[in-house]
Amino acid sequence: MESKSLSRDCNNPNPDPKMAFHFLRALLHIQQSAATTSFTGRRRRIKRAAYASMAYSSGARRAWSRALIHTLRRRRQRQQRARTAVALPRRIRVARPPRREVAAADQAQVLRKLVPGGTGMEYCMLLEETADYIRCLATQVQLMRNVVDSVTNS
Amino acid sequence: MSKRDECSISEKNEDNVKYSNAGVCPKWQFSSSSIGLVSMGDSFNPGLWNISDTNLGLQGNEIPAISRSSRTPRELDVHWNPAVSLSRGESSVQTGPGVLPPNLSHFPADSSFVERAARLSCLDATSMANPFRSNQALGPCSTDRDPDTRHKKDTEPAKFEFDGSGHENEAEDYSPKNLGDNKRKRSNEGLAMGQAQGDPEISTDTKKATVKTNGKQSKEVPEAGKEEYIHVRARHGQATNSHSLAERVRREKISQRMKFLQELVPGCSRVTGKAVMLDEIINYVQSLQQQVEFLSMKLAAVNPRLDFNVEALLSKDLLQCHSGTSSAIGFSPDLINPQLQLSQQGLVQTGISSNYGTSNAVRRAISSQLNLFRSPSTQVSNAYEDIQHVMKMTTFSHEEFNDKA
Repeated sequence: MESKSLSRDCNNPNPDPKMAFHFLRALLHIQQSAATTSFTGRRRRIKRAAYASMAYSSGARRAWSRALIHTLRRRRQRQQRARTAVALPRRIRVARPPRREVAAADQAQVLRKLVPGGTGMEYCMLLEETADYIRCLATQVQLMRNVVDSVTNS
Repeated sequence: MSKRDECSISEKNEDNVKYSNAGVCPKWQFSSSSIGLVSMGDSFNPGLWNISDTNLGLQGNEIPAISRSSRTPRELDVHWNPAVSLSRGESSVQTGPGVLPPNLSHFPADSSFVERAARLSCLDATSMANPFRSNQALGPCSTDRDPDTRHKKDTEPAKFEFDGSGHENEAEDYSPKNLGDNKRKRSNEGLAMGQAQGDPEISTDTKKATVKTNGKQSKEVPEAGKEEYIHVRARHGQATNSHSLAERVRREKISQRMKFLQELVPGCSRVTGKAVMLDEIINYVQSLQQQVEFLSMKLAAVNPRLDFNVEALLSKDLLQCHSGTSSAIGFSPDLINPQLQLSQQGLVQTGISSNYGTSNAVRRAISSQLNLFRSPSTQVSNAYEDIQHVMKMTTFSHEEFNDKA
């Protein structure tokens, strides 16, 4: 266990204490408040907490973190509005025609979809953001793995 | 330089023509100096004024007597002089070429002067636009208009003949020999063909001459435009060059980022080729996101058991993260030692519950936890040197803690 954690930490490119702190706080919060919620709901919340902690630890200097924070905030606002508003009949969604998938899809487009806030980004910028995003994501994955290991081992 | 000055100057020049007994010599000086003034641009009139002043002192009384209408021919005479001096006898030919071109270059250069003249009177405008030719053309016309000018015209040929030039195109009759002379000299001075052709038309119309000068001016304007256009094109070429430069810089940037990504993504260093590398990067990002999903699922499954030891986890995982960047965290003794002295479990709880925002609290928690399970005196003093040791101990302590929990 010790050697494993050590090696993982060495692999970790930029371990951020902020990120771990955010994430664990969020975990605690989830565990305290929503112990009664379903498994899938908890899973989603944990996932969201993971991304949010990533974004907050990275700060607003990165485009992908800004995009993540923005989407999360928007989601929260939507939830609050839904909570406060009278139950309105849901707007019927007109089925859109399926998007024409380009046969030989540009890899950059795929990357744009993967990296938050990557749509409409300049290619050079996209690569930069991707690098940062990968770094943070790897750290986050590492952190979560540590948590899971510690939990399962205990 | 006002219009009034112009008028008076022209009058005086007229007087100069009329009354100078010196004949050609003062005139010649006058023309040469006027050329210099022409080359100077706008300072045309003062010079004339001076010349007329110096050359003849007797025109002062005559100025009021001269009518304004007769001014134009007189003015023309002023401009006429250099040409006449040019077309004088063979002895003055060598001086001519030096004189005439500047005078002719006066046409396009002096647009402001022409405008001023145009404001003065229509006749002036036509005459000033092309002094050299229009005075020839106006000569016959103006003789009909004014007895004064006729008188002047009569005097002028006499004067020139007195010089011994033997060549006057001022007179009503054009001798072919004179014309040929004129042409030859102009061609010697490298004048445009249109000007040489204009000589036969001299008696016909003054307007034609002005039109021609206008045409010449307008011909020069496109030339300037063309030059500017070429200049703009050159700039355009430079712009494309800079574009290519910018493109090169961008490509360098992209390759640099690619290299960075290559280092970041495991198993990507062996791959060559941008497309494959991008594929690898995409795969890696996807796998990471899937891992996040999977781990969150696992955590959700594990969550009910998690409620007891989240705080311990917090400190532990933070510490694990810290151990990677030992220098960034700074397990400095001066930071830890006061915490060691405190060494209370209650401090940990308060730090976690209330003071989440600062990493200082986290450090405090870690150090106090360290404090709980290990003897404080031994390892913390030199923890800055061997962080791995510290890590080991902390993990050990946490496992202990977890087991206890």
